[in-house]
Amino acid sequence: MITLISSDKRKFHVLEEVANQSLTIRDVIEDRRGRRRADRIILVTNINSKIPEKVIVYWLRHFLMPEEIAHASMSHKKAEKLKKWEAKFFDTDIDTLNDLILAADSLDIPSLFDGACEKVSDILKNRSAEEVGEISKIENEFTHEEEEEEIPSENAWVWRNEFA
Amino acid sequence: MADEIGDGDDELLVSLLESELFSDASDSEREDEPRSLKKQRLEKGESSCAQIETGFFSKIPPELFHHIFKFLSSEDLISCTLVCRFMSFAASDETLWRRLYCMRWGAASATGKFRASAWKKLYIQRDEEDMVEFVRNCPMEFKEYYIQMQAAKRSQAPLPSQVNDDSIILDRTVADQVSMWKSKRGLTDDELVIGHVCSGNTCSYTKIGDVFICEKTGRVHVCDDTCREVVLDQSSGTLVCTISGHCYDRWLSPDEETDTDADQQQGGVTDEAEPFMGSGRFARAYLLGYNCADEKELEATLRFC
Repeated sequence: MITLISSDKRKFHVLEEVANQSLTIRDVIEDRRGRRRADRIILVTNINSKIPEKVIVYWLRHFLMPEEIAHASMSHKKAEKLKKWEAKFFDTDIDTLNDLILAADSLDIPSLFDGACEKVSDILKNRSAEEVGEISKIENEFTHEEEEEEIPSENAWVWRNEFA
Repeated sequence: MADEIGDGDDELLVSLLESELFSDASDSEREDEPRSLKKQRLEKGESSCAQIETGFFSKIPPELFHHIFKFLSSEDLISCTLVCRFMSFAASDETLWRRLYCMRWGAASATGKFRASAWKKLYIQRDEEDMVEFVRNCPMEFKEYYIQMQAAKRSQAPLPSQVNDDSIILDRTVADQVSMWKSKRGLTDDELVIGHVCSGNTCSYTKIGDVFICEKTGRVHVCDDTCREVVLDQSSGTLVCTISGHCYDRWLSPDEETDTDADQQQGGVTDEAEPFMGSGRFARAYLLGYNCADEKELEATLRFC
């Protein structure tokens, strides 16, 4: 059993085998192997407590279905189920997704990282520039002249009116 | 204090996982941070535009944007380009456009390793040529539909199974070699390995030229100038690909660049004054000391360097 401590001082107890899904934690545990139990405490300073809850839920779900077993004998039905579960798991607000990306990056959990990135990219798909700006709450910082001249010439598709 | 926490852990050992997930830790006295907690990735964003300062994406470090954008189509990328300076920079990434280009026209049609301009520009040019060609010979009354049909090709985004697989940017001869290797191994193209994400830390690779193939899934990593598997090596300050071990020069921010220039100029001046070009003080000492018979002679010789 190892203990993770989040930035707001909450404690999370996780089985080592489960937490091993984070390559960062796995390395840390490996480094400290053979030492006292107190060494099993890992401070995750850059992550607030809402995120470890989610990360651990994700770990538990995936722990029940380890990669090797998944590869060899997972039925199509089970794969579908996992897919559905993941879709639900990632169905959250963009702020949480961003935090998940950060957490997955720093803890090195590749599958979670990819999943969260894909979900964020889904939000950006098929949008106009204005919509993307609105969603991400970014103020357009291009000056008016830039917008008129420089930007379109660099990024223009051949617009349909040229042919129509 | 640390021991107290440790003893507490023993009691918790047998309890159920989930019931123990969330407990308060006001007594956490021990400060211990994982050494390599934050992997330093490619910090290329610095050089032109540091980071987004407002909005939802302000938390995400610039080097991670690539991983979000790799799921997008060319049309989506252009939209992102128009939002702000940073997004414009991040969405013009060479790797992204190279993949999109190769997805649409195939790698063989790209002009090999030497190309005239950035992949994004190539893509837009080729798109334009195609559009002109496609629309020129169509019947007048269908022109509108032809344009729409052609424009729809821009919204083709990579499949989730393609984003981590470089095989789409291989040219034909290499691609053949790779598929031969894969069939020998019994790996099929569309086989899905759930929960497996390739990374230099976990997978073992087979090498064919520039190409690295994950032995478990047959996914391909091409290690050349658009390699994005690099992490910053703390000790040397260079970027190292986690898969191939190739080292790349780090992209410098403008400040750093001027620093290096100054250093180099200084270095140049001292080099001229020195009799032994190209080797440092220790190397010179070694060379000088090599033929010395005893300690005394060595000391006398070393006075000169």
